[in-house]
Amino acid sequence: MQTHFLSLELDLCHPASALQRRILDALQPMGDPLRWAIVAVEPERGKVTVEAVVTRETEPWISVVTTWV
Amino acid sequence: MSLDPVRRPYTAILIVPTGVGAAIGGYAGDALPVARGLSQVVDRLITHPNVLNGAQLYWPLSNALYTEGYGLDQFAAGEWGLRPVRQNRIGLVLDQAIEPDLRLRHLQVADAAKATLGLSLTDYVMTDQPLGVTLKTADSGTTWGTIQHPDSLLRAVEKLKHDAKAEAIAVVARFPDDVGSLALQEYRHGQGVDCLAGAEAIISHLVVRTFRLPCAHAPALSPLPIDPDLSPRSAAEELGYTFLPCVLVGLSQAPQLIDRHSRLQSTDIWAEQVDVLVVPETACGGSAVLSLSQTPTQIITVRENTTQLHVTADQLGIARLSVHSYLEAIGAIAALRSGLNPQSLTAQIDPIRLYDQSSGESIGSNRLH
Repeated sequence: MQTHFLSLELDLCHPASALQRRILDALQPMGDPLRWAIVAVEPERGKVTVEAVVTRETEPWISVVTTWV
Repeated sequence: MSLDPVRRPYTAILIVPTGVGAAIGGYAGDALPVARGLSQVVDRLITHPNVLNGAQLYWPLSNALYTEGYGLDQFAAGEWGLRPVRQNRIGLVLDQAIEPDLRLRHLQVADAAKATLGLSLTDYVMTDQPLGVTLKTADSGTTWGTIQHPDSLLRAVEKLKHDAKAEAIAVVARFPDDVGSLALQEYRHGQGVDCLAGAEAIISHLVVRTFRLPCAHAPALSPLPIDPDLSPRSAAEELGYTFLPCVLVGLSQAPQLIDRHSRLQSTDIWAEQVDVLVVPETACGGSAVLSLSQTPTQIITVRENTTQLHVTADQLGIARLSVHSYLEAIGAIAALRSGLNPQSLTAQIDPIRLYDQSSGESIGSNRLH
């Protein structure tokens, strides 16, 4: 697994539910969203900037489960 | 106790995002007084470790639910619920990169928590690789960071969950010492942005997302040289050798995280039960705020708690009650809880006007026509 930082510019839309959906739809192809937030809004341009961290699997992380001794 | 006509616990969420330079809550647990005040006017206060953690300092709030940020976002989205507990068995993960003396300091905190506070801890686990914490600042001015070996963290937690039956996870990762940096100096003086916050959030988010267990993080750092100009807001993090005590206390009674498939209990809490959300006015762009903006939850934004960001509810088309300070927020919540319109407590009360259905506007106050 690796984490990746992203900064995206998306179109501002209303209501907030549509904007949230738009953000998640934009992040999903990039990886598994771990943390994100809108960090800037430019109403005159109709844009928002989102910063996010996503994860991508590189190889299975789980080890063979061992018995606790 | 007054009779609550709704007959259900009045529930508030308090959010102070970490790593955004919040004037109140951006330092060493300095939003804890806000939580203490809010807890007195609500029945349940849901808030996150950044608010309640003061390193060596903490304050047990019997009606506070210590909920990690990723879990809080899932809760606000209606995906997860909160299940209050009497006590969690805490599993401790220590980063392999922590040097022996500093590791011993953390283990002694765990021992003290068992003996002096009566907390329940499993045996601890060390990661099989150094986690490799890295710190960065984004263009927005907020801090973020990551770990180079997230798999190592997850393997450690898996052992604690599966083998030791841990019910909550405390993670201690070795963070870079940055003694001479301007950013650290500013932070110690109660200014700037917490450099560690972004990476800390990633660590706990990884655990919560993967295991759906309560989790919180304490950074392992070398002690700093004494600073006579240390800000009161930052002082709590320079009282001892670790940041761990508050984390163990918080996790000891952190609510379990459940999903809609869990067998429901009467004490479970879901987003539809949240009455009010309090958030800094310029930091309204988080997932929890967007989720709850679409529900009957009253959002209260606090102007005095400035941040590095400029993302307001108004810009996002989110209805909110804007107050100047947390003191005013506490008063507003007391009014809302009692069924009062907060505006009725001000000197200016506008007369009721005609709503014109054709134009969709309110028409002025000439009532004779």
